[in-house]
Amino acid sequence: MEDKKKQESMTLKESVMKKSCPISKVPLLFLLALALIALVVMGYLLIGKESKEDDVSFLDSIVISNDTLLDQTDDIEEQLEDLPEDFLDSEVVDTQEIDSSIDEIDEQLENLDTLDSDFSLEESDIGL
Amino acid sequence: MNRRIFLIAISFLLVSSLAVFAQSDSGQNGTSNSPTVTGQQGSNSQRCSDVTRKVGSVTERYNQSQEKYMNAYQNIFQNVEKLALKFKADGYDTTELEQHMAQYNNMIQNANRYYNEFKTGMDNSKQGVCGNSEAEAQRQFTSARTQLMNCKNEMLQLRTFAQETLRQDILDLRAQITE
Repeated sequence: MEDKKKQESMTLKESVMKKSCPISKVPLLFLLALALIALVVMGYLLIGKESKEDDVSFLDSIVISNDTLLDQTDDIEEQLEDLPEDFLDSEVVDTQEIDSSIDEIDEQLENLDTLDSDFSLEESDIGL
Repeated sequence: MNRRIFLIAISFLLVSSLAVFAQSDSGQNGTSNSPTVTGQQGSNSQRCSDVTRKVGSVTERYNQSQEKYMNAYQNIFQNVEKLALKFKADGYDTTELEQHMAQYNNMIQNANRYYNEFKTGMDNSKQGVCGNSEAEAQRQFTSARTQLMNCKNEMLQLRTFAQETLRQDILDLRAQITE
């Protein structure tokens, strides 16, 4: 008698399981698909956003680089100034003379390097 | 008789001394031309050497400046070209930028052409001085100066073009991205 009852309850459970299974699987699959789509969309948006940020920073770096290059052209006016009308008749400036004068000045300035120590006077120097 | 011989001797001496004097005078005149010509040649040669040095040093100075500026402009062009290629491939509208780049490149070529003409003018001017053609030297020098000014103006325009037009195109492209 008890065996029969057990058998009946088992078949009942099985039938319930059989009936409930298809119903619970559909929303689960639906949810999974939705989650997958959401992930894909989010990934796409994130990658897109990152790519846009990369593009903007690339553009900014080009603008900065161009500005730096343009800064180097500030003195066009002075460095490409017109030649004097009497250029062909003007006196030759000997650059070698100028260079040797600069060398001489540099040499004289080097001699002044010890000026500070040469003219320092400590108390001990005069026995105080 | 003796008196006659004496007079003949005196007149002979007079004639011969006059002949010697005339000869020595013409000789002096002949040799006096030579140093003048040599002096003039020397002065021309000195002028040629002076102008050669001046042209050399000035051209070298301008070469350095021109190279510096043209490198900067060329690098700007390369930067913008890289950017245009990338954004065109990504599907952005780069039509205007490309048109302006072509204009900019044309200006670079003009500046280079003017500068080469300046150098040629300076060289021809030097050759004019050394070849004793003063008028031609002056004409070539004036032409060289004009080309140098053309080159400078083109470079200044390149600067303004890069600062205003190309920069604005890049900012427009930036706006397209952030839209």
